[in-house]
Formats: sequence, C-alpha cells, structure tokens
Amino acid sequence: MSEIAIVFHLGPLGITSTIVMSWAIMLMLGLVSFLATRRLSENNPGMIQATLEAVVSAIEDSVNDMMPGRAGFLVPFIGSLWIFIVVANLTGIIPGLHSPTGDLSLTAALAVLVFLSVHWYGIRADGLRGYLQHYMRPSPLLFPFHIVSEFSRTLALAVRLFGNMASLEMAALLVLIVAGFLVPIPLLLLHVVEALVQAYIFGMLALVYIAGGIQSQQNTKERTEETS
Amino acid sequence: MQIDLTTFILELINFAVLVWILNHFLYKPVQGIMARRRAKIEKMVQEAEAQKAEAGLLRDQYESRVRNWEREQATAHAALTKELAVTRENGLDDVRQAVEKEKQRLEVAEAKKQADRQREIERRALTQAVAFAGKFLQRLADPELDIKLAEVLIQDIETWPAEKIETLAKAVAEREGEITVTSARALTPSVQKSLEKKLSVKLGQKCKMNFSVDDTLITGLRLTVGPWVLQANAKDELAFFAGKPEHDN
Repeated sequence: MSEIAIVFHLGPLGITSTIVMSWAIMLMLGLVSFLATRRLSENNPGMIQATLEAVVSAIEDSVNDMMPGRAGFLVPFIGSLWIFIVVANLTGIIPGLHSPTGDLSLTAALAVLVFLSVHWYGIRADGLRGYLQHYMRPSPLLFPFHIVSEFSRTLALAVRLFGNMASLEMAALLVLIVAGFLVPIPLLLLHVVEALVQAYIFGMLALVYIAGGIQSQQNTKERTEETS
Repeated sequence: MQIDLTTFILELINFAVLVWILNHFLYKPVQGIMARRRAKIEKMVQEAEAQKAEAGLLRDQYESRVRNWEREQATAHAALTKELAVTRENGLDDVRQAVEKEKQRLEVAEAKKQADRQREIERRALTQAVAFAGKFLQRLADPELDIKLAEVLIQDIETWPAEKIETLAKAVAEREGEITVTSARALTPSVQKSLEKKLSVKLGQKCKMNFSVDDTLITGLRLTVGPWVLQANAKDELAFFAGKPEHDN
C-alpha cells in the first residue's frame, strides 16, 4: 500500500491528493447543484430536474422507511454521505485519479462523523441525561459492552469502506499490469457495482445507527412510562 | 494504512461544508419545489374533490328537478288528457245534439215535404176530380136539374137561421131590394116567381130580381146581394170541394 502523496503545503499543513480530490468533488457537486437548481419549474420539470427530484425522493423515502417523520433533519446528513461516497468511489474509475475513499483518513473522518451524529441526534431527541441512561439498559453491567460496540462499529465503518475501495483499486492495477490493456474492464464494472454498494451500505449503516440511538431513547421512555 | 491527522481533520471540515452546500443548493430547493408541487396537487385534488362534490350536488339537484319535471309533466299530461276527454265528450255531445237537431229538422222538413207532396197530390187529385166531375156534370146538366136545384134553394131558405136572414135583409135593404140571380140556363117564369116570392116573404121586403145567364155555372144558380153571394150551382160546389173558398152558404 503506497503512501498518500502530499500535493502541496498550506502553511504547516500538508495537503494530500485525498483532500484535493475531496475539494474537487465538493466543488463539482456544489456547482452541479447550483446550476441544476437555478431554474426549477413546478409544472414542467426537465430531465435534470426530474433526476434530481428522483434522487432526493429516494433518499427521503429511505430515511422515512427507517425513521418515519424524521426525514427533515436526517436527509442532509445521510443524503450527503450517499452522494459524496458514490462520487468519491466512482472517481477511481477515471484514469489518473484515485478514490479518496481509498484513504483511511477520509473513511475514518466519515466514520467519526457518523459516530458523533449518532450521539448528536440521540441527545437532540431526548436530552443528554436520557440519552446516557440507555447505556445502563438493560443492566449497568452491559455498559462496557455498549462502549466497545460504539467504537468497534465506527472502526468497522471506516475500515470496511477503506478496505473495499483500496483493494478494488489495487486489484484493478495488478490485473492491468499482469493481463494487459482490456482485461481489467470487467473488474472496472465490478468497481462500479462495488462503489454503489459500499456507498449504500455506509449510508444505510449510518442511518441504522442513528435510528438505533433515537429509538433506544424512545424505548427507554416507553419502558419508564409503563413502569410508572 | 495510516491516518494522517491533517487529512482527517480537513475531511471532517470538508464533509461538514459539503453537507451545508448540498443542503443549501440541492435538498432545500428540490424539496421546496416538490413540496410546492405536492401542495399544488393537493390543492388541485381538494378543488377537484370540491368540484366533484359540487357536481354531485348539482347532479342531485338536476335529477331532483328532472324528477319534479317528470312528475309535473305526468300531472299536466293527465290533466290535459282529462281535459281533452271532457272537451271531446262535450264536442261529441254537441255534435250528437247538432246531429239530432239536424235529424229532427230533416225529419220535420221531410214531413213537411211529404205533407206538401200529399197536399199537392190531393190538390191535383181534387183538381182532376173537379175537372172530371165538371165534365161529367156538364153532360148531365139540363133545365130540369136547374129547376130542381132552384127548388132545393127555395127549401133551404126556410132553414136559414134568423141571424143570416137579418144580415141578408139588411144588405138587400141597402140596395133597395135588388138581388141578382145568375143561372146556367134561363129559369122558367114560375121558378123565377117562386124564388122572388120566397125571398120577399122571408126577408120581409119587396125584392127586385135581376135574372141573368152564365153557362160556366154548369147547372144551378147564384144569388148576389152586394158583397153577399149565395151559391147553388155545380161550379161553385166543385170549387168548394177543390178547396177554393168561394162558398158562403
């Protein structure tokens, strides 16, 4: 596994190609979003608008299926995860570019963001005290296991995405070196599928973790109401 | 496989910025337009439902009105049929009455016509009978029959009622006793004297008799006193039978 190259220095900070690719993706997504949503029509949506509406509707529906009635504040985070990871994964197909998701620093950052968002949405749903109480359920003895679970699933999120994308790039490179120019094409198709699947898994797991945090509060609250 | 802290921190910031960018430029505009469209569609659906309800109401009103119209139509039709039946019955009664009147009128006219025809036939029969009798009497007439008829007249004078005699006497007196006697043939002097004597006695005054001849009388004689005519001849008797009012006897 090669080191991620530093493209340039910004003062004391070394800017790697991963960050540059992330900025490029952010710029592209921002520009596309800005240009595509400048002239939205209520009555005559064009093909681009219809595509955007389909994407946003699909994200909303997925969130609503998991967390009914909470799409309003979950869609920006989960949707951005899906869109960013899909684009970042697919970037590796373009010759000369590499997927930023093949860098553990980026996937770890995303996993940490998911970890933080789980607690953020959980605390936001029922307050800090109520949220922390669920670590003591069903027994305070399980508190260490809850902590281990929190960190292990975050680590799994980061490593799963990084491992899949890095290995795919490496496999395609090895096949290209060994077999020749056209042979890696089926592998590239696999790359596309894998890119979509990994993005979906990452976003869906994030959604599941956030939903679990919120629902655990609701379950705790319901149990408290039942006992009282 | 190691984590670069700078990359890690910058990616945290990058993703937060990306969430803001996408939220601001993608999710909000698209969700807004979808929400507006959804609201518009819901509004249209509500309007359509309201229009549907209104249409249903109008349809109910229309059906109710149609039912009322049909009821009114049936009532009017029944009333009109009844009125037509009454009018037809009245018309038929009028026609029947008119026919009956016409029939009666025709019957009366026919009866009148029949009576006229009968009278005409009778008249013609009488005329023919008179003509026949006249011709027959012309063949039978002779001086002796004239004398007999004169004698019959003289006898009849005896049976005249007093009022008739008085009226006749007054008329004779106004003409100074002049009486005209017309006969079919010349009367014998004895008959003339008997007649003069009888009248003078009966009327109570001297009668001046003027005798004349008129062969159209067939047989017998006629006494004329001013407007008074006393008939005792075949012509006047036949005329009486034929229906001519020329006989005052």
